[in-house]
Amino acid sequence: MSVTAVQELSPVEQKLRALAPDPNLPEWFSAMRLQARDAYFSRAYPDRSDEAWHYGEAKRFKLDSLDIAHAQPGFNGKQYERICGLTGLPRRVSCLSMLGPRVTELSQNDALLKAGVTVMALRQALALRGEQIRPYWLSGLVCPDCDPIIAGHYALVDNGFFVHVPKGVQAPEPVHLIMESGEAGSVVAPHVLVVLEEQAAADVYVHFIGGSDTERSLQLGLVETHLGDGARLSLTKIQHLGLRTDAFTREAVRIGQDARYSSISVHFGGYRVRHELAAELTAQGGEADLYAMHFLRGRQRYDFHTHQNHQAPDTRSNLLFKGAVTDRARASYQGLITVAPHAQKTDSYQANRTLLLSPEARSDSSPQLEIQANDVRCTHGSTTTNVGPAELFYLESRGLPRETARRLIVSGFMAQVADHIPLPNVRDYAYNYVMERLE
Amino acid sequence: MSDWHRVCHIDDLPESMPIPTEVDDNEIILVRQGDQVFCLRDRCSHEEFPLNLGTVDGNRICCKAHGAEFDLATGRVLKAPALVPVKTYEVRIEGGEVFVSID
Amino acid sequence: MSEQVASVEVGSYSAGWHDSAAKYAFKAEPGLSEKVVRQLSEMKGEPRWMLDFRLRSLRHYLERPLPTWGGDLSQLDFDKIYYYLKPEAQNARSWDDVPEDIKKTFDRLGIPEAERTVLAGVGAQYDSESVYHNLQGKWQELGVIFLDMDSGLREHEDIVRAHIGTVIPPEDNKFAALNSSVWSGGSFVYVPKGIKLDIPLQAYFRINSDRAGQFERTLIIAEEGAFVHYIEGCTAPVFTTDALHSAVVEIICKPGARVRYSTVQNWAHNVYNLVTKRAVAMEGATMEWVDGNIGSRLTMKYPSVMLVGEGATGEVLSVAYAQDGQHQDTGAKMIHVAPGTSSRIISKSISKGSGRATYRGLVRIHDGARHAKSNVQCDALLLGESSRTDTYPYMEIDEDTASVGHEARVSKVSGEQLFYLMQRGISEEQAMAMIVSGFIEPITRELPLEYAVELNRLIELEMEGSVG
Repeated sequence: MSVTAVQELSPVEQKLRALAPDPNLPEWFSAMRLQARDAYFSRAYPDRSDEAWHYGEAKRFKLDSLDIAHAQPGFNGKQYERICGLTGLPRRVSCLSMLGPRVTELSQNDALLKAGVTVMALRQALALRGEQIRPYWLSGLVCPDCDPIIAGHYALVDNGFFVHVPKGVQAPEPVHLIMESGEAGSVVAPHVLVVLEEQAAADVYVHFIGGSDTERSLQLGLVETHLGDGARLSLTKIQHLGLRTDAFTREAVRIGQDARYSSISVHFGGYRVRHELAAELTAQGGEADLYAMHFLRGRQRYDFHTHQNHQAPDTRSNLLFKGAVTDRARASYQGLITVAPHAQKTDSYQANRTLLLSPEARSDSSPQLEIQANDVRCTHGSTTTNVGPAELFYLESRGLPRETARRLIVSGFMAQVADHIPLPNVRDYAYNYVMERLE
Repeated sequence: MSDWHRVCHIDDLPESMPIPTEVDDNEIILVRQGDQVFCLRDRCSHEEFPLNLGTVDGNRICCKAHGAEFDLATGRVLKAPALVPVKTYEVRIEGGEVFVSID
Repeated sequence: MSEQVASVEVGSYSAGWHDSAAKYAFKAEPGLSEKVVRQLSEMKGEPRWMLDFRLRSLRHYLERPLPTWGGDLSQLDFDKIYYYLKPEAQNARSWDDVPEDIKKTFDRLGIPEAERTVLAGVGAQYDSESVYHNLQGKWQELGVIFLDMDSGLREHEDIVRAHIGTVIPPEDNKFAALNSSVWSGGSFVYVPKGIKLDIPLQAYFRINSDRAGQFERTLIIAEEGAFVHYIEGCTAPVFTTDALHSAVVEIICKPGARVRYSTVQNWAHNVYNLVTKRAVAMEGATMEWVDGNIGSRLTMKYPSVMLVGEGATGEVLSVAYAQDGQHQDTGAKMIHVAPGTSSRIISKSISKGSGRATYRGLVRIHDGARHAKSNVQCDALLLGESSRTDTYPYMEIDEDTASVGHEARVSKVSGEQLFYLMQRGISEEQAMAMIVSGFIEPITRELPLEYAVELNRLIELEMEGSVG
């Protein structure tokens, strides 16, 4: 064991070093990849002294000891069936899956196609509609080279999903996207770009599956949304990765005038998981409803970072993150509401609620406010408790055995978030998963 | 049920210096004093700063961040601002090989 | 560099006060060095261990970087500060030197003439002998010790040595290290077992040459079952040329003891007020911090309670007022180590004009602090369009049977409330004052009456010109 071991470049890092522009991709896309690659190697990983990483461990998302995931010859049929089955009728939806660089179309929905809704691989979209994508890709909603983790994503990304809904169109059916993580020792960098033009509407689901249950694999994901004026999007993310898969996801959305973003995040899998959510309310009347439910066990560590950024007047945001922690797991939450000086009449609410269900369970919570406008209504709240003895007693006195009572209370706790998932089958899936774990 | 993990050979450890390593996802430090090796969690119980950045002074380890001090053998608090002890792990040395028990 | 020899006479009081008159000859120079610290310790005639304590602290202060969070300290020039006694040229020599706005405030608050000169740091000490003589006697009878810290060290060296730095070690933060190296003045309070003092002890009672020192060090020890209420500061503005005030307050509440420490700070707006205040509460003990921050250019202060004994209770009631050019960065910390402990933090802040009020707090529940309960409530009132407030609370919970709650609200004065009051013939300014007073009432009602009255009067003053 050596104290002064010099770090060698991992296989994926070597590939990044040798990265060259891909002739099949637009020049501006490759230029950004190279820029990000340079930032990955030059930027320092944040540590505890960085406020944003007060509870997290940035170095878990380094690319050492990893290689790029291989696209498997077949795919995880059973899991995919299950997911597509969640929609009720597989044929009714558009379902795309991605592993490493390969995107597979599982089913395409005619109604969506007819309505002019685009659901395709990012690579394909870049080839066919590069100029349409360019302003969004380069919009700066996410800074590609400000920190080494995001830079790692932008350096690796060479495929993903592109969802586009034209002006005034309400997507008639939901869209399902499946991001699959690779085998042990691999990294994937999935990217979802959702663009809704003015007055458009859609219901999108992103499923994160795969990865390893036994040895480390890594997912560096990015889900970005651009909502035109008056657009409405419901975006449900369900993370069910392998128990040894580390996952970093940045979710960012720019919300146009009177547009509305509804996000539901469900986290069950993974090992060291960090989910960053930034809602940019940059135009008057924009609204964001942000929900999350998570259930932790073993030695999982979930680290949530949210930002409700009110940059315009008459904007509204509402956040409710609920988690249940068992075994020796640890859930951390850090949420910031900022209100710019001219963002008068902002209405912002943030609540973080955690149930600790075992003696070694841990929770951290830091709900933060930076308010510079005075005609606003901003409140936040955070509670961490066990399953209340009073509530338990109430149910037990009605003849319920203790364990059943406990399950009921936890299920009610989670239902408050699960109920916001539009598709009933997906909603039930999330809810039942928790119930099964409690047995 | 605890597991014994081989971490290193005693000769790998310099005298009275906190050496960090990870065993089964537990961040620990090893401190050698002569023929003995002490093992503690690599986090100060005050504000979770890494103890491996601190210094060893006799039977104690001093955290660099705010000066808290802990007994190497028991993890007991010897100086404020720490309030609770640091977790210690059992160490066994067999034929020069250092084993640490993680539960 | 010009040399100045200044002599200072330390006032003397009869029975109970042991300040001895002494003349000091020294060379005053700005900036901090080992030489200054040695000089200081020698002039005070301190024991060797205290000099070592100071020097060790100085070493740490010099190597420790400034905090990267909190208020803006970039304008503070540490080399220009006099760390011990300053040459007389720095003090206001006469009433004419005192700034107009401060004189006006004295007028409005109805401060008696004699007090004004003292508050302004101008004239001689306030002659308080007759009033306090009786109190002195009573305290002595009970075995209560209430001295300035220098005398405390001199006369009760063992007690001081056993406790100083045990709650706030010099390495705790840069400004604790600074204070530990150059501290002067402050209070030493010792309340024996079972003694409950019905009259509060006031820092005001132990005026020495400085109206209020830059680097006060206070140590309060309440033995089992004791009770004491200690009051520091005053609502009237205190004028001083000292840019930096960095105090340290350590409090030890032994089992069953209760200590309440009330502060109202109204430093002039050139002062940086960086304070470390912490208490240890043992079994069944209660610690209450009542903290009012009105003045200073920047205050960074987070009164804390370490709840180390079973059933201990901690409470922080904090009110902060920030107007143009001010930043109040305040809050509280509650650390639950033992089972059955409970804590409560109520923070109310008001930002006016371009003022900025920040709440920074920590509630940490260690594994084993069974059934610990904690509740935090932060309310911020923004009066002006460019007023600013921030909230940075942290809750870290490692015990599954604990129950922790936090709530924060930001709002402005409700138009309806104002309208309702004005309809009853009250002027807009008065209505504002009433609403703001009502907003902070849960805290002011815990302050001694005269403070509460003065605080409300101050608010009335502040509200004038805040509207229309």
